[in-house]
Order: sequence, then C-alpha cells, then structure tokens
Amino acid sequence: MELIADALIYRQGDMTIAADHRFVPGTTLITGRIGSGKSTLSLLLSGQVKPDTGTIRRSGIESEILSLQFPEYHITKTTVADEIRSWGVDPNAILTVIPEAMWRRDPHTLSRGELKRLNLACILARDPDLLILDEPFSSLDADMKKWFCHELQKRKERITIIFTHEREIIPDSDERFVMRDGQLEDAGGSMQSRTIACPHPEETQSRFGDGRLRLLSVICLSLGAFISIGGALLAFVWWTVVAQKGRRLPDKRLLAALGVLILVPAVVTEILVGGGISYGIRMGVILLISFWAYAEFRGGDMLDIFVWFFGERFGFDLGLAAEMTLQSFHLAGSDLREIQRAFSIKGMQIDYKTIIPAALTLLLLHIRRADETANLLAIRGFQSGGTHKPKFSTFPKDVIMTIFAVLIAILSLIYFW
Amino acid sequence: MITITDLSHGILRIPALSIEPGITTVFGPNGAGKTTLLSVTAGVILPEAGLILIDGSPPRSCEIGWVSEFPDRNILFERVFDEIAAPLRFRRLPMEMIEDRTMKIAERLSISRLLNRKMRTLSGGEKVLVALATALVTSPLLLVIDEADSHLDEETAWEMQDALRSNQPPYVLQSSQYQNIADVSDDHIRIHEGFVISRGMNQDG
Repeated sequence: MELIADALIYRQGDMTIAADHRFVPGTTLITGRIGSGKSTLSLLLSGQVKPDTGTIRRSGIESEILSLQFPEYHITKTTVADEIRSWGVDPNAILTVIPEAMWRRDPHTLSRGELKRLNLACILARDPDLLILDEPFSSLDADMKKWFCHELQKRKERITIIFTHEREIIPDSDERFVMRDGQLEDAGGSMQSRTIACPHPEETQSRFGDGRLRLLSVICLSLGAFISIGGALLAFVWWTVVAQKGRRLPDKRLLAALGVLILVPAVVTEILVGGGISYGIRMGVILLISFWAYAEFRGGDMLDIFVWFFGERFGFDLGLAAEMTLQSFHLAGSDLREIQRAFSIKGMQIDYKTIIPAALTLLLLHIRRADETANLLAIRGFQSGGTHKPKFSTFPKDVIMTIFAVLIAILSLIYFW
Repeated sequence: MITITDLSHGILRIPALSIEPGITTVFGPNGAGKTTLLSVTAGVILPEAGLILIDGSPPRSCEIGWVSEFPDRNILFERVFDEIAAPLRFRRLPMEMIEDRTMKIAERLSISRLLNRKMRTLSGGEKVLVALATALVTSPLLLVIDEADSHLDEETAWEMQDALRSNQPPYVLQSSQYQNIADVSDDHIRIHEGFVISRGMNQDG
C-alpha cells in the first residue's frame, strides 16, 4: 500500500507548494509554521485540489479520509446521532467519546473541541487505508490529545499522514518532515523534494484607482445597457476596452446558473411576445459589467466613497457595512468550497436531498461569523461613525473612460426616445 | 487589582478572586469556562450575577484590548494600517493623532514595514502581531488573549509573548495551551467545571 506524490507543484498566490515523496504504511508527521502550506498540501495529497504539474498515484488503497482543520465544515446533518451515521458509523460504536446524552443535540451547538472529538472518533472507527489529518490537535484539550495519539498507534498497517504545528503531545512517528515556504523538507533541514525554480506570478495591475469614477461608470453603463439595445452594445464595447485585465469571470457553474436565469425568460418572451433577444443581450451586458466591477473592487473603496459622499458620521457606518458585506461574499465563496469538500469526503453529493443541510451549514457559519464580527466591533469600541479621510488617486485615463460611460448612458436615452 | 465577587454566569461560579497586575494565565480543559471568565472580566458580556472591578471601576468604563481565538479570521479592514488604526477611528480621534499612535505601536512591535501591506498577504505569525497591535493601540488597562495561541505554532506563540512583554499593559489575562508559556507568566488560575481549583505560581516555575 502506498501513496506517491510525484513531483507535485501547485501555485497559490506568492507561494509554490512542492512535494515529491512516497508515503508508506505507518505515521508520517509533517510540521511547519502556520502559513507554510500544510493545509494546501493536505488537499493536494487527498486529491481535493489538482496540482499544476506532477501527479498523485495510489496503489493498494481502497478507502481514504481527509480530516479538515475546521470541524464545523464537516457537518452535514442536523443531529449528533445522524452526523455520526453520515460517516457510516454506528453511534453506539463511539459511546466512550460521544455519550448518548449528546445524540439529540444539533452539531452546530457543540464547541469546536467537542466537534473535533466527534469527527476524529468517526474517522478512527472507519479505519481507512489512507488517513490524512490537517491539524487534528487544534481545539483538543491535553487529555483528548493523548487519547487520539494512543488510538493512532493501532494504525501501523495503514498510512497516516498528520499535518500539525503541535509540539508537546504528538504521536510516535515513523517519518518526519517540515514544510518551509511550501516545500516539503526532511526534518533535518536538507531539501527533500527536487529543487524547483518557482517564478513569482506577475502582479495584476488594476485600473480605476478612483472608486468614485468606477462606481459612476458602472451606474451609467448599467443604466445605458438596461434602457436600450444600442446602449447595451456600446457598453459591451466599453467593457472589452477597459476590462482587458479584469475580465475575470466567476465559477463556471454560477455563470451557467445566471445564464439560464437570463436565457429562459428571454426565450419565452421572444416566442410569446417578441423582444426577448434584446432583453437577453441587455441583461448579459449588465452581468458582464457587474462581474468586472466586483473583480475590480478593492478593500477601502466603499468606505472612501461613502465617507466622501455622506460624511464621517453616516458615511462611515454605511461604508463599513458595505465593506463587510463585500468581504462576506468572498468568504461565502471559500465556505462553499469547504462544504463541497466535506460532502465529497463522506462520499456524498450535493443534490436535492442534501442541498438544504448544506445551505443550513453555510447560513449558520455566517451567522456565527456575524456574531463574532459584532463582538469584535464592540470590543474595538465601535459605536457610530469614525475618523476617515478618503483618498483617491485619479488617473486621466480613468476620467476619459468615465466620460465615455456617461456618454453611453446619454446616447442610450436618446436612442430610446 | 482586579476583584471578582460572587460571580455567577453559565457554569462559572467564583465567590471571590483577586488578580494582581502582571500576566495571568487561565488554564482548564475544554468547556471549563475559560472564555466565559475572560469575557465577563473584559465586560464583553455582563455577568448574570456578581461584581467585577478593575482598579475600582467596572470593566465597561475601562479601556480593554482583546485578541481573539482566531486572529487571522477576525479582521475588519483590508490594509494593515487601517486594521490597527480602527479602534482609534471608532473613538473619532483626530487623524494626526491616529497616524501618530498607529505608527508608534507598529514601531514598538517591529511591524512598521507591514503597515501598507494587505492583511490577506501576511503570514499567520504577522497577522497575530497585527491583532496584538490593534488590541494595544488604545493603551488598554487590561489586555485579554483568548486561546489565541492554540492555533499557532510554538515559534509564533513565543513571538507573540515577546512582543507582549516589550509593550506590557498593567493587566494581561490570557488562556494558553502551552505549558511552558504559562510557566513564565506571573500568576495562574486553574479552573475546572466553572470553579477555580488552584491559584498561584506553578510549583516548578
């Protein structure tokens, strides 16, 4: 039984994750500082993330489980007993870790430590050929850490790969490695993986340093595209000129869903009363413009714009709220990926039966986070308003493009009349 | 001195407890009530019953700094400068004073070079130092560190301790998972199922 990471390379922002190793039965311990790429390598080894180059090969491995760092992402059911069963484990089998008194509770009400216990107990009960654990010790108290190390000793015949920063209580290991800046190295410090030249990805330079002009352009273009088909075509031309670099489109599935949302009414309208094609084109252009605006968004823009417009009292509050909403969009995207991972680890698909628990998990994660943020604001002393001096860097090119955007809105209006 | 009298909140029951100035570490297993004790002492939550005074004043009328369990997931602003300056902005201090105090705290924690970076691009250890700077920028009377090191590697946890000592507020209350970090603190409180079961320095420390 073995897991072979053959010249794996994966780029993530400024860092390049690289590994080249043959994992055999026994315990492999991979330590390293936070941010050294441990979580990413755990996703690569488990096949959850595809490497840029290199391959992962398995031989003789019939079952495998990846344990994620944050246990709340693993939740797919609404009671503790069902959650245990979703791992394919009988709740009676892990009574010593999760007592019967907890069976009827909602897993979301457990503390992180309790949830971690539940996950680890289920995973051990499944006894997979390949077990990859990302920070299994975080949130566990000393007694639970010792219990878990003891349990791992029973897996000598199978492959266990542990990613952790834990130093004090760790299981006996057959092999030890350190992650340094994304590279898997021998614990001694010599380079284990083949040395790989990793060029830094080029910095993407975005346009429209002035958030006010960008917002004005987006409003004018959306309006222009909405009012008439002529305006929509002009707005499309504007988009192709300006959004050269920022032409990033979201996830294919989201794009498809939005496309269907526009196409269906467009086709129906076209067949029944006519004018559907025009509707489809106009909405499509508005969508492209909004994707561009979203991709170009930079932290602090909203605060700058709102404070400039409404002042330091109301503008600050509005701007802060807008900043946080936009950040929560970013977070919702990464949460969704984690939830999809959790489902696939359990061999479940997100379909009509599981979509509700998945959505519930996402919702509860966000409520919990909103609660944490509210606390954080209170601790930092936020009541209302704040000091902020907006700064804008306006480039002549941006002004010209904004003038064009305004012209498109005006032309569209004229064309309509 | 911080004095706690007849405190009762959730599972926490503390008839009388006093904490001297210095670094105090709170210990205990999962669910013992560590975070609850830190939260009521900091005035983040009001206790169901009991009285807490910090140098004679209730917590909510004192300046308190807080470093949360996940410093890298509790971020308000994108730019490091804005994040550290946030507590001063919320207090509506003039801009010159905000810039001055933010620069000073960054200098003392040796993170001046990070001020113009984006939070997202920082390493885990750098994010912790930024969270500490944000908590210290208002010169708090009490600084609370809630399990912040349980998700950190030991080097980063020690970096945080060093930064803390170079800039120590009168009272520091922290919960830690590292025994050796707790050993170098001035005092410790061990709690179990809501009760204080031991006090004072470790025998071996």
